[in-house]
Amino acid sequence: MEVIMVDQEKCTGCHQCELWCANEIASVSKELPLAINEDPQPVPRVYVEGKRFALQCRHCLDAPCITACPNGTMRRDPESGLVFVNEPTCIACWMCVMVCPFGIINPSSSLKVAVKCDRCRNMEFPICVEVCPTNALKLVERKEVPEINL
Amino acid sequence: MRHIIIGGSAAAISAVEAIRSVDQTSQIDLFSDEETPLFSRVLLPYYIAEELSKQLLNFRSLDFFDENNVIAHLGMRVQEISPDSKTIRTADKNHYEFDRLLIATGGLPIIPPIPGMDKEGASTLKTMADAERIYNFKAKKAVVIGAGSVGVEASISLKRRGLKVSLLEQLGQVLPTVFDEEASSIIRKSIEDRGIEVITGEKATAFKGNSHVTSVITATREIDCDMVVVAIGIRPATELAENAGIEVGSLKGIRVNDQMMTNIAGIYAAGDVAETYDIAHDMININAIWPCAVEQGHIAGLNMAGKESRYAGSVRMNSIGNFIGHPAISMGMIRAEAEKPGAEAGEEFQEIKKSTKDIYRKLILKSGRIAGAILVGQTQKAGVIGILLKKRVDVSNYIPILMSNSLNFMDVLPLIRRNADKFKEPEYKELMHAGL
Amino acid sequence: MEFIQKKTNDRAVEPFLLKAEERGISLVWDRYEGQLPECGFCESGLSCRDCLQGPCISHPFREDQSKVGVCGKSKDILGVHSLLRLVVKGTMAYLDQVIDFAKDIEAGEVSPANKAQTDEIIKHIQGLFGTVRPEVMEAFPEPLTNRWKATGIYPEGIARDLFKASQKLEGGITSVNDTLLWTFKCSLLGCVAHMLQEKLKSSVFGNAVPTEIEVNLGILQKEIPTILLYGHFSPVLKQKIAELAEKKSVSIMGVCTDPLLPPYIFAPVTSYGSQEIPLMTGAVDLIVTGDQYVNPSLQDVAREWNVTIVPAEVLERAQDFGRFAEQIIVQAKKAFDTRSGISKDIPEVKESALMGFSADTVDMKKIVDAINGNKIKGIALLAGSNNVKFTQDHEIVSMAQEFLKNDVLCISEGEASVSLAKYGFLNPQLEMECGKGLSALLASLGEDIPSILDFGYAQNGGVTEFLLSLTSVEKKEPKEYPIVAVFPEANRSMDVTKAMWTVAMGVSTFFWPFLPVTGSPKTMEALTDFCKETFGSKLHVITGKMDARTKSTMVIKSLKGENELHLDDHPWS
Repeated sequence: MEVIMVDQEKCTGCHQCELWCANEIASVSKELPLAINEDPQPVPRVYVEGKRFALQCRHCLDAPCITACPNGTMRRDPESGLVFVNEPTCIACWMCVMVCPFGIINPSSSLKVAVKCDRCRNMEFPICVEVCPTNALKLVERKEVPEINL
Repeated sequence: MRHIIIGGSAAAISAVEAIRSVDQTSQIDLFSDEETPLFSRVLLPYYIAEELSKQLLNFRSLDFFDENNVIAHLGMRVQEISPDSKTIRTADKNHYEFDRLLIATGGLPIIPPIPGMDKEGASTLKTMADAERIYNFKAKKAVVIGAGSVGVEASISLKRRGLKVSLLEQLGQVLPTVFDEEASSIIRKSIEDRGIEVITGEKATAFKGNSHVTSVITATREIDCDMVVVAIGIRPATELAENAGIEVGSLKGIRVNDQMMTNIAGIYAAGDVAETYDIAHDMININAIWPCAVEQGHIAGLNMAGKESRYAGSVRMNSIGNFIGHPAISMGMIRAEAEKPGAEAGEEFQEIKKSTKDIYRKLILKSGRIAGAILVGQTQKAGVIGILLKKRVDVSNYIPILMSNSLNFMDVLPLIRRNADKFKEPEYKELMHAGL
Repeated sequence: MEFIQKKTNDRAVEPFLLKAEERGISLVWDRYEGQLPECGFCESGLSCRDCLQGPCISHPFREDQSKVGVCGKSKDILGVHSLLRLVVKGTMAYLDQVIDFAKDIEAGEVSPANKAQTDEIIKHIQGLFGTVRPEVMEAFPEPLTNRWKATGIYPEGIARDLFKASQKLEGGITSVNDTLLWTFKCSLLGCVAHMLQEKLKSSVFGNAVPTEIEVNLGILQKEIPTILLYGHFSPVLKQKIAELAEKKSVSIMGVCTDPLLPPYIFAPVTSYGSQEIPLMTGAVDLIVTGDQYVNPSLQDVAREWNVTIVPAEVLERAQDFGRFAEQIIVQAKKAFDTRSGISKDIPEVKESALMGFSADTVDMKKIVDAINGNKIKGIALLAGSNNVKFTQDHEIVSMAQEFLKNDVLCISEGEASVSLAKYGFLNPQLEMECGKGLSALLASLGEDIPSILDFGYAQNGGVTEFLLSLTSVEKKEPKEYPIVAVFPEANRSMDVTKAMWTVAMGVSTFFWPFLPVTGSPKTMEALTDFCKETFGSKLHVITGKMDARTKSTMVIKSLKGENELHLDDHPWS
């Protein structure tokens, strides 16, 4: 499975990944001047907080969010192995938020669903990786490790 | 290998998936005493509130049993387990043999010995049948007895349906086993702001009415109503186990080891019915919440299928999400009291609180490790605290970061790196190389 | 995120793009694509680097504290400041040019055609640096000046209009509308400066008359030394160079520089977007460069073709322009000899253009009558230059075509004129498709009138003169006429400043690409509603992606007074 890794030395904390994630994925209009003023406000799925490091869903092999979701909204795509939110069935209980070790699930009170990176499942290529001005973000094959018990 | 699973909710289904991840061929028979399969109990209040239709209560698709090659006996109660002959007997007098048995019977709603409990209009809220009964009541005024998670959500659901609602709680605050006084008062205000009457510190002593309930009596008052929902808690459904000689613990749940096996080889238990090691409280406990049931069912299933797995332990976690409009999360211990009988000497508790205009946050540390956390208002990073709790990391030097509004994972990465032996999963290892 | 598929409309330029790729030479288009995506915060006006507690952004997609700059600038203030910053720079550019020119005249470098008038104008220019003289403002109709006085934006001089306005960027407690007024105030000083430059040019060099010029790469000559003048620098120096060049049989042409300095012509070899291309023809021996409009990348292209670069705006300014010019000519001739082995590749693409109309060479009354008699729908003032974000020249050419077809009189200036000239719009011999009313009007204006009238270089106030002259016919003010200004492909801060003063004068302005204010709803609103209330005109910030035809339709509709253009996407335009 391919995951997004950050080269810490190249990340300048410029927030472009957040901006374009919100514009290209989350917004309705997909055009920045309009997306900025959309209501509800588009929610980016990647976070540049405090440190110069863009963090998004790690698509854990044993995903706590899938375990915690009470109605099967949090799912894994069998082909790609990516974890995604099936938004139509999300009831905003925030159990997933409660268990995500990386804190990358946004309990969006405006959208009333859990918002999480799905590594641009339906796109050719993840947007954040595409726009990063310094190529700090890269798509990398995850090295498999032996299965860990809970 | 023949597997039998008694139960059809979180633990049971999780066990099925675990078994099938290892073993696609052995027979699995699943017995559930409820007719409706695969619905999530957690969502019943949403059904009552008319926010979710019945189909949307499912947490797996309806062809789950077919897809996973499970013979599902729905609406079929198991009457007896015979460990010696390794068989079970069902209500229709049939016998089924097993090599491995999982008891995932969950809990039963506690029915208080209140006179009038059997009147029409009074119901618990546990099963689909309960939910439908409540859904179909034509009532104008409801009293919900018990302000636990189920009670609070039920009262809000009924208010959304247009009923006048009173929420009655015996103890001094709403959600007494979930939140502390401060958090609870914030949530109470949210509930009251919706027009729900909240009465705490009073116990229901009787229901009045003829065949149909017309009011609830407490020590100080009489509350008129035409519906009562009783949600004062659950007790583990251990009759089957007890009758079979399976050991039941002091908390009245089935005792299991860290492979989810009972005292009888080949018989496992998981979910609300089981007593497991509670990481936060550092003692044996029953944590009857959905994620724990799923985890335990998973471990049980793996072990049943021959793949040795150990359970690190459970942590109680509750989230009041969108329902009350005020995100609130609680995990582990609620108060820094030595809840464990005979607490070890030298265990130092720390309680750190922060209360601002819109946000309440509390951390409870025991010997430098997180034993509990409450977050109200700003909950997005609760999981960061949660993982440090679960992995029993000493966070003594990180308290300001954990209490900060801008807490984020990267800030605690150095701490995680220092405890690398506890964070072996690839998702952590990948990030540890980030040269911070 | 997008990059332009087709780089240029100009078939003279197109073959060189492939050549550049083959030789590994980077042009503006390559670097633009390499920059993509450009910072979304800055594009939306939601960033600020005015102090070292930043750089700050207002994050449009996060909650909490990231919405306001460290010092407290809200997203709306950040937006209006993005505009103010550009206007401050733009006004400084106009002031720089006029003061330079005035100083050269004062130094006695040239004998003015009309000495008395020149002295007077120089005094006016000096006034800009103290208090703007009242006589200068008499050029504007009273309703305008009264309105400016009433709103507090009347030009007073650099102390208030420039320096004080610039301090708004440094902090203070204010509102978007107030800051916007300061921005208008600053731009008006630029307007006054550029009008004075026009007047000074006339009084020094004599009135320009419409002159036939050939434009585009095909005019380059390979048999004689060729000097190109790039960008803006002292007209006096330009004249000296031209004078000598004539004597010494050296060809002088220009890129992004005033084509008409009587009696000399500096024929535009190309327009702004393709300024690197002339050097690639191999036919250019030496270029004299200013700063404004000049790409630093010329250095690299020049190196490839061994072209000598002589910067004119240097720290040690030439004391004697005559000597300097001589040196340039000598260098050019030397370069020509050294470069004789270099192959010359001059495309055979050129076009004729009649450029240099002015308020006194056009019968304003006829135009006013045509408007009043509904023979034409109105007037479009075309400005701006090229912007790599569009296919070069495509927007302006397409829009010009639509305007002409729809009986809209087009007046152009500066680089916009050069773009149009390349496609024959300024050629009196060519008949562009014009509506009946427009054709009739153009025919009535003279024998050889091109479809579009060029009113001179952008830094000179030709178009402003036109506007004031037109409105003085009936003693009205601009907002009473169906006139719009259109910047189809703008890019300089000077363009932004010009757009602002045009709106302040009551002429609604369409500006592409959209100004960096889209992150501030209040600024967007102010540029429409507040401006409409205050000046009777709007500065249109249009973010919707639309082709040039659609843009033209929108502009024409606004001329017809079909106002309240309903761009359904946003609530504020």
